[in-house]
Amino acid sequence: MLSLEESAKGPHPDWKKASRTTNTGLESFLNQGIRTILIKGEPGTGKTLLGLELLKRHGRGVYLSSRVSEKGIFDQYPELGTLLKEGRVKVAKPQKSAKFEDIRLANAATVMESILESITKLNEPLVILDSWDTVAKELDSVERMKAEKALVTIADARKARIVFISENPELASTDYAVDAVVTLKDEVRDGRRVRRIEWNKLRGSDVPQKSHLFSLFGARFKLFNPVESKLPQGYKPKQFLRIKNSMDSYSTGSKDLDALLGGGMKKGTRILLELGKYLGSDWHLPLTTSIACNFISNGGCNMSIPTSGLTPENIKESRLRHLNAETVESSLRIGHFGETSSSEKCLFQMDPSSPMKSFEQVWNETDKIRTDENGGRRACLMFLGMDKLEAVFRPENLAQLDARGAAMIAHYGDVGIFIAKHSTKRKDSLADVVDTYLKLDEMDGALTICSLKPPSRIYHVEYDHSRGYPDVKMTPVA
Amino acid sequence: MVQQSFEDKILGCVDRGMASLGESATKAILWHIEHNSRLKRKEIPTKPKEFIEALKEMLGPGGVCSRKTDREGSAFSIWNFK
Repeated sequence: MLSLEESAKGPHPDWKKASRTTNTGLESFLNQGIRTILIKGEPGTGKTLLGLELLKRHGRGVYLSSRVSEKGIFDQYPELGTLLKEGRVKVAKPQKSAKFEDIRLANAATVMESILESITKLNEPLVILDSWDTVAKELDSVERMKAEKALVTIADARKARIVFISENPELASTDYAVDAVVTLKDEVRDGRRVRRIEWNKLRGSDVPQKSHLFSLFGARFKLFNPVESKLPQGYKPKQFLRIKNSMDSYSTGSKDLDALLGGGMKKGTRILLELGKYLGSDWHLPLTTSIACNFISNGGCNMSIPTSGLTPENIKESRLRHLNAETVESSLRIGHFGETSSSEKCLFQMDPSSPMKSFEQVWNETDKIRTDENGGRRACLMFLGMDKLEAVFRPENLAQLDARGAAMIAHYGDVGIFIAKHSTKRKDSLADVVDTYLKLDEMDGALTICSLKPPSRIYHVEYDHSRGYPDVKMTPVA
Repeated sequence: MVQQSFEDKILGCVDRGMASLGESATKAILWHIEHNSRLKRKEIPTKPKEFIEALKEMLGPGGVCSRKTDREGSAFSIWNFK
């Protein structure tokens, strides 16, 4: 308590510590102001895995299971075994004997004895009650509220953290007692599984985003933060390290993306890459940069007509960051309709009056870079920004070029990637004729990709720039 | 009529005070105090300081004690908890 004199000087110093922070994912749970957490969700939504992930991040604690045996827990969650071996977690012994007994048959008082024992024996532990329902159901509503209040008080006093896990979706006394409440959801979107964590309550933190995407792939809880699409200026670039092509496929430069495509981009094929409605104009640039740089690094060349929102200079710069200038000059061509007045060698202006003339220009320019330094012919990777082309030409006029373009791509063993946006009129007709249809989209701010043709699950996309170039990493949203 | 002993009155106060924590928490706390502070429930009236310290360690500033006088004029303690 402050005296009157002290109060007159200003806010209590401790209030400064309690300033609001911004929710940055799982780390929010380990903020100073969060002592008690309620994780809700239906069976199988990942509550236990989230609890274990928090336990791992916190570094020390106790796991109390009222649902499965000790063996069952380690069989289902190998991560817990790892934490136990490292000595960073204890499996609670709820009975007073030294031998482990699970608490499936324990009563509320016994469970609370275990908690108290753990909290006082370990320094600021994180205690997971999995699940609180099993214990709370034997208590009437008043007793339950008192028990929760007592646990909250004890956690606060001992600087421990308690995680209540519950399968009850309804609002209960626990929701009001704790500092943070999240609900895990397992949903279906367009026939594909999507996992979401909803932030219902987070004391002392701003929650600008109501939900985040997450995955349980590999029996690990992984939360996906909103995408950070860095243009080349955002990081220190280095030479691109290529992944070699196979006999019948071109690597995209990403092992994960190659796996999604069944080993890479097949020679002579066409791919439709749809960009979701709410994607930023440059969110796909790191992906296409990786594909192009790897293609060129493997001896190929690259023809590009950028989508709207990207300039020819953006495209060239993205390649120059990771390939030497001489290689870029001899291997890259970028078509435009007058967006730039630059007369650089890589850039060429197309004729907006006729799609046929523009088509011929593209193939002529491609021929120029198709011949390598030894006089041999090399494959070409073509990026065609369909929204840009439709803005210049009528969609029906573009359609007449499909067959010819397909034939040339197949003949030379090239790869054609049509980049379509949400409003691209020819999207559906292109989908009918391409070999692969990918969709890059945004969900809860995170970048995702899935194959619509052939169908695949949804993957989270992360652009890892730690090696100095965009390394496309994909994690199944499973 | 058997008169309630002073110790019983104290323990009654303790029980009423800890009732706000609920039966489960009360049992657990008393068990914990007995096994860690070596203070049995029946010893609380004779070792109030030890009991208060143990409670404060467990509950922090939430363990607050105050004294009141009942209508009969006998002084006894009411243990109030947040």
